[in-house]
Amino acid sequence: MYGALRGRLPAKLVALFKIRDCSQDTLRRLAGVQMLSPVNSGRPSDIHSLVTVQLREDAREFTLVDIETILGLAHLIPEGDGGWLVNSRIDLRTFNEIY
Amino acid sequence: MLSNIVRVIADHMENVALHGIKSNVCPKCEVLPGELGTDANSHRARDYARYEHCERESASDDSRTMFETLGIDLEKNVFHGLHRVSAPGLHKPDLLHTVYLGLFKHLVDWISGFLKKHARLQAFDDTWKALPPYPGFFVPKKAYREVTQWQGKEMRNLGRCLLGVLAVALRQPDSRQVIPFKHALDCVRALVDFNMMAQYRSHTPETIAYMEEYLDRFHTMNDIFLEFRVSKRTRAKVDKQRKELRHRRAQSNMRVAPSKRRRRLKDHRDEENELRMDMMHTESHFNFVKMHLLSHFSDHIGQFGNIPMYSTEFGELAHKEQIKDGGRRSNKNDVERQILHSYGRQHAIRMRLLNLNSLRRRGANLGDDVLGYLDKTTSTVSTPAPRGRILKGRRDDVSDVLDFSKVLGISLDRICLELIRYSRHNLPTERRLPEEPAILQLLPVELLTQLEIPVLAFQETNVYDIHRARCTGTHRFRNQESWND
Repeated sequence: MYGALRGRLPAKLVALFKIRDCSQDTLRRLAGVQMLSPVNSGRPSDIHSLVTVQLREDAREFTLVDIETILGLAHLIPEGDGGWLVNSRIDLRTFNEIY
Repeated sequence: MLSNIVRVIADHMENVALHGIKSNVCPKCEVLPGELGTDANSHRARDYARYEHCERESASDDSRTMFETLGIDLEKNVFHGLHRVSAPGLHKPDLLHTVYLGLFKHLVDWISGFLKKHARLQAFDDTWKALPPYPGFFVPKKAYREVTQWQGKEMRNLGRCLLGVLAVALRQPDSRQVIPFKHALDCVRALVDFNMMAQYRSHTPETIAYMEEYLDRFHTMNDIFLEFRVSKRTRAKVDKQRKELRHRRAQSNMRVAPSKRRRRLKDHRDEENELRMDMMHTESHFNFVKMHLLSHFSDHIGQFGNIPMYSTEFGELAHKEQIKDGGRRSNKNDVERQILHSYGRQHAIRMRLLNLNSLRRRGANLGDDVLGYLDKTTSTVSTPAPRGRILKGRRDDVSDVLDFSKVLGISLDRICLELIRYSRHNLPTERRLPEEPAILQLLPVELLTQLEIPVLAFQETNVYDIHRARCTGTHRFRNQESWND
């Protein structure tokens, strides 16, 4: 899924919050995010071998996810025109996982 | 005397002094200076015992010529006569001086020339300045062209973002630029990938094979940067050739009608460029020793293990604690002696504490004051590995979903819809959030600005890097702009 990103998808963080359901006395820790979509199904470019992601107009601008599903930060290099390159050489873990 | 030295952690010039070799030869193998920049890596290992034997048996012109060709001076080799020491095996690959301060430094110069030639320097600078933060990555404060001195730390940083920044700078090439841009990116990618692999702390035959493949690709593709390896001597030759050519033409043009001269001018310019490029390609080369030292990395891993543990980086970082801090603490009189005493004392105290700690673990009877001091200074209990994510930085301007929607500037309906969607998809039926908007909008909400995510460090089992995702909304972060990851 998502090609080289292997099921991971970068997103822009919109909000971090806790919401309490008083009737059940439960607390949910959630993040509001704006998902980015991989270009070319997440396949690395033939030219520079990096994956490009972009904002999509048809995508929901606010999606809720559990904070436990956030795996870490991604290093996105702005490419202009609403696109970013996913920098897979930023650390050894990312280099080992995204190729 | 029985002495056994297994490694010497030193930069190339220190190795040159220790091994008594010329600066442009390899301390490990008998590669000729003219082959340093090629991918041929099957050269005979240096055999200092054989050289000694040759010197003893035949002090003739032949052996002197051989020593001259191999770039060695046995009298200057400090390991000369130590029969239990394998001098070529002492040399260890060094990421700091070979890759960061060696190849990367050269690469920066070549890329600058390349970008200048294709008018992409400004695009590179703009992307460089717009790099976002990342844990352990130092965001450049200056534009690429404004950095006057590149140090090891900056070079290591550069290696982590160079490919991405260059890829952005070389976007949308015209038809003539497609091939050179692709070759330049291929070359940079090969070296960056080689550097990444070289930092691995454990290897398999596959990772070593990848390293060799990246190095081969780097050697194959680096021709694209050959014209930016022009030495002063070559540049002078090119100038001389151009002057001679122009002189010859000026003489022949005297007999040509002025109308024909203009037509010939363009042909002459093309011819000049062609000759210039030919000469640059013939005279320029990549034959410098750091280019060759990369070829020993994979052999070294097979024999001795990972490369970072031999890097001079650790020794250079220790300068701060061992020398600079001691120097600062001294009263500047007889400073060397004070530095040695200061570090010696600290080292002795640390050893003493470790010994006491060890005794304590074995159940030795230690005084309460000693135990109290040990508790304060050394902790025998390792910190538990962080597992969960931590939310921090509570904001006071939000108390329920209604406030939340106002602060974010997102409609209440939209937020309620998302909460219901999240609840239906992720929670068991009996734990779902209420779906009536009137109840939902009054649910208590705490808005936070920071999320700490523990990420297991690469090839480690109990070391975590903490990623701090920040989301300050429209609020400023530390009196700077807002920060939303």
